[in-house]
Amino acid sequence: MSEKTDVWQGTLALMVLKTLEALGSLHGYGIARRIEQTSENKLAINYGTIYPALLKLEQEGYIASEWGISDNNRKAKYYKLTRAGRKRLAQETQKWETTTEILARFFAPLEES
Amino acid sequence: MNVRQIRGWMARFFGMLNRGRREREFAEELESHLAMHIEDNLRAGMSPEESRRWALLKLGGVTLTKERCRAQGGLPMLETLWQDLRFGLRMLRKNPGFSFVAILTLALGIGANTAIFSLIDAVLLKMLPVKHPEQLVFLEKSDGSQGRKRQSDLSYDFFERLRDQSEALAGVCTFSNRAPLNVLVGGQTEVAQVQQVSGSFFAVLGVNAIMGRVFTDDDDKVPGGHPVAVISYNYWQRRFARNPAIVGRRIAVTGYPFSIIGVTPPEFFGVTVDGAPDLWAPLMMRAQLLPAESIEDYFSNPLSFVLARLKPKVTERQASAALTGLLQQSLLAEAGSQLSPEEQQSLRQARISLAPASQGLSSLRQQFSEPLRVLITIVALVLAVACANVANLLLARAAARKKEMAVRLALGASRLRLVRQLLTESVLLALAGGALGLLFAWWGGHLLLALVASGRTPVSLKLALDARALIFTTAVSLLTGLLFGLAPAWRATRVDVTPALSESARGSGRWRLGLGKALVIAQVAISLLLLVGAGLFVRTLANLRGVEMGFQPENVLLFSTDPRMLGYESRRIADLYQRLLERLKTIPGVRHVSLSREGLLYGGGYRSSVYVPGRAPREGENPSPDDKRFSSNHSQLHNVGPDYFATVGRPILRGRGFTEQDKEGAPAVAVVSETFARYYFGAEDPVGKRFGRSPAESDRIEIVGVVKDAKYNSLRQQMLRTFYLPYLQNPNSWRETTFQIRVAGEPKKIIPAVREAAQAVDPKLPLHNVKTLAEQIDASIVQERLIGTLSGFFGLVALALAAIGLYGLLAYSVTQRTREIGIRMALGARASDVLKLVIRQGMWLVVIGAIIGLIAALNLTRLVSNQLFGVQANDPLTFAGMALLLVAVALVACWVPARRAAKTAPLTALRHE
Repeated sequence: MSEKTDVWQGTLALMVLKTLEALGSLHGYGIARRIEQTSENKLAINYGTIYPALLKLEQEGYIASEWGISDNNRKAKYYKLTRAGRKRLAQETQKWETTTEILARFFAPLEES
Repeated sequence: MNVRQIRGWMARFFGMLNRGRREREFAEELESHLAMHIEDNLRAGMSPEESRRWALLKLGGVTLTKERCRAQGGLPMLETLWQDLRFGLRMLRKNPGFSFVAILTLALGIGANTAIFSLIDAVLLKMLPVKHPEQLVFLEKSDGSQGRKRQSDLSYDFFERLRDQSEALAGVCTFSNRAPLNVLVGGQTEVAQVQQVSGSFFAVLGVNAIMGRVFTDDDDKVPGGHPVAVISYNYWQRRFARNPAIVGRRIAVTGYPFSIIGVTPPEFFGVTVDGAPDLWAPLMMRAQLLPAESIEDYFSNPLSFVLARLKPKVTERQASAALTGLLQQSLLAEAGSQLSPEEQQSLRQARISLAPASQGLSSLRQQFSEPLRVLITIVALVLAVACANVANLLLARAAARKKEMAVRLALGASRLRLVRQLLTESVLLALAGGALGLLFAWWGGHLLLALVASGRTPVSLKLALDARALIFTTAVSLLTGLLFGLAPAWRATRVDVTPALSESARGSGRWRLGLGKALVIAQVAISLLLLVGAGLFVRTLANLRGVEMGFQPENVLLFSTDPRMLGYESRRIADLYQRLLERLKTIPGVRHVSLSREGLLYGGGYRSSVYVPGRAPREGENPSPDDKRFSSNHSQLHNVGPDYFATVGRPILRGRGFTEQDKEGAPAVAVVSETFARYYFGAEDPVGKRFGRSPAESDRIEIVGVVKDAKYNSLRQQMLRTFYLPYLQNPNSWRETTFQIRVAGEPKKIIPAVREAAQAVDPKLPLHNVKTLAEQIDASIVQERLIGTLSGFFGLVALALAAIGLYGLLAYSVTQRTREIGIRMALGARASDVLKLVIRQGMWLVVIGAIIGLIAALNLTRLVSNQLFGVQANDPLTFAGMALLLVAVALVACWVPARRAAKTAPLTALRHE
């Protein structure tokens, strides 16, 4: 597996976690739709890529799944965050914010001088 | 995050198991996903077809998504491996003929390797089955310059000091050699091997009893005060039928009452690999077991063996330094203050050297290490030939599977994947071969042990096919599977897809033949090498068996005994022997009885100076080619009893042999061998002449007879000049005596009568080494027998395998060339031309292989020249003979496919695709 794929998969996993934090419990279709919306359609992803990511998160115990009924009376599999998932999300968010902050300092002074 | 990752892997592992359910669930999930998306699209205003199409597009491919999730949900690596295994098994079942031949070939090769390996393991490699054997060391006194000696040379005083200090050693013990003694159990007397040990013996080794207890230091304090014994598991089984009431059982050893206090575990055999004692007794009981020696004598002589266990963190160097210090102290204390400077100097040089004892003692090791090395090389080469055969078989089969490979490649399989799958098949074959090979090794191993164990003393080697052998076999199987599978797998998948898929795909097997030919050449070369080696070894064995021994080995029974152990001294010994000889003569069937100090072909011998009046010993004159120390002034000496020569069947050429009149007080006489007579007296008749063993008494002994030369201590040694003295005139300082009995019929039949006779003379007298002279001869050449038989067997196996390989290759080549042959015949070639064509193709390979093999043999046989007898390492007769054998067999192997080719009808051949 190339590094690029790893980074992408990590980012996707993060987006899934964040979405679930915001929306509570949601099915795969909903999560994919929501991610696309949140990125204001700048991110055009294949919905199919959500599912391996969801599976991996579930295997590692960050999310849990159960079958339920959707609003249109359809059977669907719902996912929600676990406690470990919340912790992970918090950690990763921290990391991202620190990284962005450091980088920001690099870009800002350059403008000044 | 590690815990999470582990959880992830475990989930994937278990995910492999419920794949079906997972996939069904996911299919449902995808269905509901699409349904929801389509609904949304419909609500957004798209037409039903548009909605559906858009939803599917946005998903990115149902199959792809399913596949990705399938990969994520399980462990693809393992799953594909499992798939490969099942497919491989199916393929093997579908081609039973091929599978059978391949597995059998591999089983022969792998089985042979396993058998020889476990022999090597038992003789050369295994550690003692005790606690932490790597901590055990033998202590020896050395002055730093000599190499390793067998004896420790340490005094008992020093041993006691060692026992008391606890710096570097966790324990120290000493033990004696085994002695065969009479043991009385329930009214029956049998000989058992008894070893005397210090109280700490079992503690140092870390061995506990499985019944009762073993010795402690308290069992070894007072001379004669501890009549206790520990027996081995083997002995418990043999003599006591594993009677559970063994602890406390009373027995008598050398007539002295002992009580058994414990039994050792079944895998424990003491410290000597090929000499397990039956019974252990405390050192302090020595005087009771061997009345000849007083305990004070024993303790005042240097000890034979001192065994110690190092403390866990102590290195050998540290221990050596600490113990040397102790040794020097003790030596200085013993010597007192009257030491000359030189003596002080040599004292300071005395050191303790440590020798690793993790493998115990073994006399077999030295004897067999070289033959075993040769053997493992031989079987490795046989395995290589077997692998080449299987590789060729695989290559041939790969041609048949070309279409299958093409289809799979076209469907998108990666080449690596295909190679992996083919390799799995090869490894499966090899593992199956290995499993069958274990069975072969099991049978073969027993035969091997039977060969090796007909040595001097019964060998307590166990050729267990244990975990080590199993690991070895599996490893070899895996390696061979990869080895012979890799090249064919690579070739098989290098398929040009389009032509392969076309209907009339004709095998352009030309390139396949290249590799196949190389393999056959290699096989032929290796076979010839092995055959030449086998030829040399077999001739060595034949030479040894056929060598002129000088005596008649049939119908002679031997046994040995040592009355000194019971306290007999010289005059009483002579008396004892006389009585024994008389009794033995009365046994029905006995023709002659005699005895000798050293048994025939025992590998030992005695020398004595010879002074002939009127003939000055000439310096540097004709030293014996066998031994530079054996100058013109020495001869071999043999002390024998009356009637000796008739008993062993040596013709007396002149004069007479010994009689009972040649005893103490009578005139000193001798009988000499031919070579002796010729050497000292030239052509003159030596009977009546005199010689002596020292310059002062150079005419003390009168020669009364001349006998034909005979072999003395080994079949390989030349017949050297020997003179014989009657034992009755020299019955002193004998350790062990061998009796010879010439019998009218089968020698073994009189063994019970012999034992009875010995019992009647002295019930405590132990007889051991009871065997026939023919068996003794066999024992003396056991290495040559082992190597001769095995190399011959494996040489022929390699030849057979190479012949099969050659046949297979030619048969394949003929099928490839059917059209060509058809054309040739249509153009006028006769059957005999076709025959010659095919045979020439085959023999060409054989010639190249043979040349390579001969060159290899010329260079390599040199390495084993020290094991040969009567034949040179580059003996042209053997080389030529084996080459001829190879060519003859190869011709037959070529002829069969050639004949088939010659018989093809041209029309059928031309139509052949």
